[in-house]
Amino acid sequence: MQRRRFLGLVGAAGVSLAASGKAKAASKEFSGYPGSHAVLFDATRCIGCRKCEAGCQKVNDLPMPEKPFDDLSVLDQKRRTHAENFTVVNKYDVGQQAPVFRKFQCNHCLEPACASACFVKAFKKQPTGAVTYDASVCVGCRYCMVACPFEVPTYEYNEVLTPRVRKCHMCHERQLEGKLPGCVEACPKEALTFGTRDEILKVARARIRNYPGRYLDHVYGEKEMGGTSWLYLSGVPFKKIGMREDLGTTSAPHLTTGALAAVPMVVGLWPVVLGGIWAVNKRKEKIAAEEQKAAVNSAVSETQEKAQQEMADALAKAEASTQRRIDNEVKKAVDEALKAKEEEAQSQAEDGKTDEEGA
Amino acid sequence: MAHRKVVAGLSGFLIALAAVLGLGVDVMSKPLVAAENSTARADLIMIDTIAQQRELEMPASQFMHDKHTAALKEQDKDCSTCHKTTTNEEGKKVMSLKFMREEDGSADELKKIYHDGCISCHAKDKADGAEKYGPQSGECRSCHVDKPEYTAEREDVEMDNALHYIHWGSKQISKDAGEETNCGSCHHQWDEQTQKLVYKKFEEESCSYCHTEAPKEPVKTPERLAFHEQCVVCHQTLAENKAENYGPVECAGCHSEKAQEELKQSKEEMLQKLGGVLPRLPRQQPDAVLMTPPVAEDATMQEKEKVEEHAMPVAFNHKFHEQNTDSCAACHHKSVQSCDMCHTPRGDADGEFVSLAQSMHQADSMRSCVGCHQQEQKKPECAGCHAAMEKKAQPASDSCATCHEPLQSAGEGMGMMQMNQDDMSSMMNASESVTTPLPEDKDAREALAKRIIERRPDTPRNIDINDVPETVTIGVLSDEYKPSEMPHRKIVKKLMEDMDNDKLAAAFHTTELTMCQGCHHNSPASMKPPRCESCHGKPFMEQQPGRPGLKAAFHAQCMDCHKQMQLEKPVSTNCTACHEKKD
Amino acid sequence: MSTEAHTAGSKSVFNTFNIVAGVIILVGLGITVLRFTGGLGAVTNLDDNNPWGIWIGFDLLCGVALAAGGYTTSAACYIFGLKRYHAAVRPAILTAFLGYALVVFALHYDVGRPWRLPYPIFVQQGTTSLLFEVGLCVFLYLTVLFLEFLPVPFEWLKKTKIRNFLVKITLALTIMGVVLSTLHQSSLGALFTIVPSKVHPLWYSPYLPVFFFVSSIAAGLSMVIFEGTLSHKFMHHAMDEEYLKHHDTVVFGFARGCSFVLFGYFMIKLIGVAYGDAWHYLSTGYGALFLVEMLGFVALPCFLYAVGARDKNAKLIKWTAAWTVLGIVFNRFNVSIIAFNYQLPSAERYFPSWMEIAISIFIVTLGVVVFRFISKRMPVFREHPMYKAEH
Repeated sequence: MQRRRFLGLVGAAGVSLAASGKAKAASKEFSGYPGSHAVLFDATRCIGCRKCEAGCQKVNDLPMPEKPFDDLSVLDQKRRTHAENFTVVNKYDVGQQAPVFRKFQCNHCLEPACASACFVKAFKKQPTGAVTYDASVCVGCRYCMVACPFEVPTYEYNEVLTPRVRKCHMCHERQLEGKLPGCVEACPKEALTFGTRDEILKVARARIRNYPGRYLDHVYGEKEMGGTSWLYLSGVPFKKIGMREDLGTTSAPHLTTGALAAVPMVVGLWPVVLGGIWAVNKRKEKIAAEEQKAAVNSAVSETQEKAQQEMADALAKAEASTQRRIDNEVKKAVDEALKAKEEEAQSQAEDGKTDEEGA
Repeated sequence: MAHRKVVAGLSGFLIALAAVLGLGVDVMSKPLVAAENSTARADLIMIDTIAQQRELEMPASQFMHDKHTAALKEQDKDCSTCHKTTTNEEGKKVMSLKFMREEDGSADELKKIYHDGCISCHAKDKADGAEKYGPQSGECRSCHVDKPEYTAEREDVEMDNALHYIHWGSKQISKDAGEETNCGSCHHQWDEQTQKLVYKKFEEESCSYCHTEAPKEPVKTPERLAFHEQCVVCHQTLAENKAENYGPVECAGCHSEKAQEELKQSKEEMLQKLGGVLPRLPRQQPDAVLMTPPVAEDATMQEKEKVEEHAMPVAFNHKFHEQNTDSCAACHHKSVQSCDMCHTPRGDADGEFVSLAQSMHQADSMRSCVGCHQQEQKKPECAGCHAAMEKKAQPASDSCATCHEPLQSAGEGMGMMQMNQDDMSSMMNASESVTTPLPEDKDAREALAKRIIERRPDTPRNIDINDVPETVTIGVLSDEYKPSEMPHRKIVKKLMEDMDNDKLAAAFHTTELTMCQGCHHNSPASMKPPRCESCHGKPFMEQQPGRPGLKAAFHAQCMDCHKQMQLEKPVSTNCTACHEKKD
Repeated sequence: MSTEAHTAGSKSVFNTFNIVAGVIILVGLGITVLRFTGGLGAVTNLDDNNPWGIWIGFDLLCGVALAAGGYTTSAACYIFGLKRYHAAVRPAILTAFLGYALVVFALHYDVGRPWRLPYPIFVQQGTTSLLFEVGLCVFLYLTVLFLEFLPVPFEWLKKTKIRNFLVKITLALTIMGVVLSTLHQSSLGALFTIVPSKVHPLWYSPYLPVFFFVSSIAAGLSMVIFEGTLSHKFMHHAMDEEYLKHHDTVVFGFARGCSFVLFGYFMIKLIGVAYGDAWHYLSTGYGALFLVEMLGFVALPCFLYAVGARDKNAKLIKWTAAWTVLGIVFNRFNVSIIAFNYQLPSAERYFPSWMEIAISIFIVTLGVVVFRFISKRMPVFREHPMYKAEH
């Protein structure tokens, strides 16, 4: 019976947890720092020249790759960023006459999953729009990499003592100096447009409006994962150029608010509930113990009483019978004495017997 | 005791698990089967006529028509083995396209017809000792298969001008009574009075105008059947009469990809023989039409006068458009009658509430003038400039006059060409100077339209090529590379050549300098256009969001144009093709 | 190995167990050197798309789940007043303590800079992170478990005073243990709530924390039975009358409890599928995997536990416990590895290297060795003569 209650309570706890998980805080939307920057990538403008890759490598002092940047044969393979390159351009054959190119780098979410997931706050969304990383506190748990819906952060797996998470940082330092990000500066065709996010969104919408049929009516990154500081325009479905269209518009931090909100509830409620259960059980045990004691006591005293009574009875009975026997014996003795008197002359031994009876 | 229960429960569970896994594997394996596409056939017919009446007891039977046709031929049998002769709506004896019947009966009757018809024939083949024979009685699942091995895949056939000419220019098809033409062999209409199908010359309509998918009384034959009855029966008759040429009689003859490819080729050959131009259809269609602005039926006289006074008519070159479209249906998408038959001035249900003005100007419809002309701009030779042009919410006001040419005097014409194009109001003034009203008479209107069309140039007016600088050196940005030498004259020359004899360009490129504005944009046309760096400077200027910087402007101008014109070389990513590398 | 049980404590150290364990530990040490001289890349198959492998999927997720026996047993005994389970508490606490200690130990292999593991608690607190919650709770819970276990070595060392004080605060420690366990067991599931786009819809749910918590109870209960069975077989000599007398009571009680928990778990998992409207995925390959997990490793043990508890069939229960433990491992693998990154083409998916697997085996072996060492010497399976019949 107790076990069943235990399980019931566990179930109840589960339900309450779930309820708190569902009751997502009616969080206010964050639409980016005012005046923060953004970059618009226009897939219809990109020619796949890899100048942005070279520019990135240069401004970030990253090692030069084996094949030079003007070797475009690397585009034939699907590539991703690594610890030594923060951006890559991929080529997609979309069944049109010309292939479509797409640049890949950190999208710099307005509410970054990596920053929300980092347990040492190594990532920070800067007012410039960049999401930066601080290696001096990084433990290397790589939860940021798990959490990133765009699979952006990379890791120095072959570094022994000081492995870092590596990703595009939107040239935060250069932005502070008033310079353009390396890739944007290097792009010969302005397939990358730099500006404040508000302005960039207007530019993107104007392009869609002014060139009907050229673009899909969708600015990728305007709402994806709560909005990003890197925006995309394309003439073909984003899915066809390797971008996920099923990410939704909920920002990553909002996805975990439910679970986080349950923490104080558990901390506040569990001890009370558990303590209560313990107290109930304890009291039950105590009452049970007391009742048992009382029962034992009463049982003991009853038995004792009964025993005493019996003893008394037995004693009385014994006394009575003794009395009777004495009487009888006395009578007998008297009779015998009388007899003896009658037979005075017979012997002396009969006196001893009488004595014994008396003892 | 307990063990037995455990074992029973366990085995039940395992069976369920196996079933679930089996299902999963089955589902997973499906896409692989679907991906296999080599089993597509044009002649596959699913026999599911009964499905219209009741639920099928068995999966529909799949039937390969061409396979049967070929097999019958080998046995010296003809279509009548399966198809009965019936009397059509015109009263002619023709072959019924249904299997061994003229009309669909009840479901049970249909079942009997098919079972008896198919199996008896197969059984006879077997009894005769044929090498190959169809499924026999009792082999139900040979025909009624759940997952058919083959899938039907049929290409649509379009009766375009060329295919149309193959028919109406054919000597195999008998001429209409007392005429030089043979249109009546196919075209007909229902005569209410005589309750018969008759042919009326010059009133030919498109087939699908009456024969819709679900035709309304008195039309009985739905579109698909109508075509097959008309085409296949006729081809078959010709074939039986040992005609020199007859059309395809097998499914794959029209509907397979291969057949269509062959047809395309023979059309091209024919067109070459004819000197590149198909003869016009002999339907008495006008050469030119003077299209006047619509006047609502319920408009007052004053309103009518006002409309006629202000709005300028459009002279439409019907003959030219006939030759430059695939078929009449390119514009006459329903009936071959005039547009205002359905598209009334204000639009009503018949015209799906598209008004006459909309029907001409709707940019998103390929049947409208504007829509089709915009499509023309997507041709590589046009797209180089036109794809880069922004689409404004409103068309430029001076573009109206290109089609709505103001009449300086009703008959004579200095065209609009010399007129100042910039100012719409000046045109309005010009039109107000028209004193003679537009003619009412049909012939006179056509004549007027012809005259207006005649004064239009055939080829765009271009500037003297020698006025174009031979090369332009772009060096303002050179750092890593040496300045780029742009072969300016060569480029202009190529563009001019592409536009030669292009009437559309001729009409819309209204000045010699219009073409220049493809690159030298956003400034008034001039022989000495402003330098690019007048507007394009550093990239991402806050004051001009969206305006490219100088480098990007140059690159976009060249590369995007090359891409749109489908020029393979120079490749956009080949820097040194345009800029020599500095040492 | 069974012979080892009889000859345990005998002269020769070269028995089968020691040899096998020795080899594993030697290999483990070798890879350890490689790991800390060549970096993660030298020993793992991890890459930029797959940052977490079996060192998280097994060592952390399974390790923590299977160490749940500590809080479930102590809660049952001390809070819910099920005194007859008392005999199971100490082994469970020891297992839990060792489990968590090994989890933390294993994390040193996985994280890039293990010496910074205290950073999230002492240097810069990323309070928005669920991993922070996990870290903090595991840290605190490890402390709690340590305190809960301390009476054992103190009894062994005959430090009565401090032992008695620790026993007095048992209740407070137990409650703290349950609170902390609730939090981090669920948070391990909640780690994945941030990536609905990477976890297959059949496994992803906003209820993931609840799933992980409830399944951890089942894991804990099953682990107590399973590990008790093993100990029973191999550590018989270290057990006293009291322990042996109650052993079967614990087994039947826990079996019944576990059956109920698994039933509840099955139901909420169904609700999870309904909530995500993921029914149509059941007919896919992942659906088959999901059904194997749900039917084979949840519904089946739920049923077998119930049968075993009713028929007092200890053997069936013990096998079921092992099966359930396997099921929990299966589930954690599914969430963190198999259903994770389901969107990637198979060429980019993760499969552990043999060295990763070896390190995981190495760590489990370490746990068994330490457990044997402690339970042979200290009063784990028996009561200390001094403190008999105290509770």
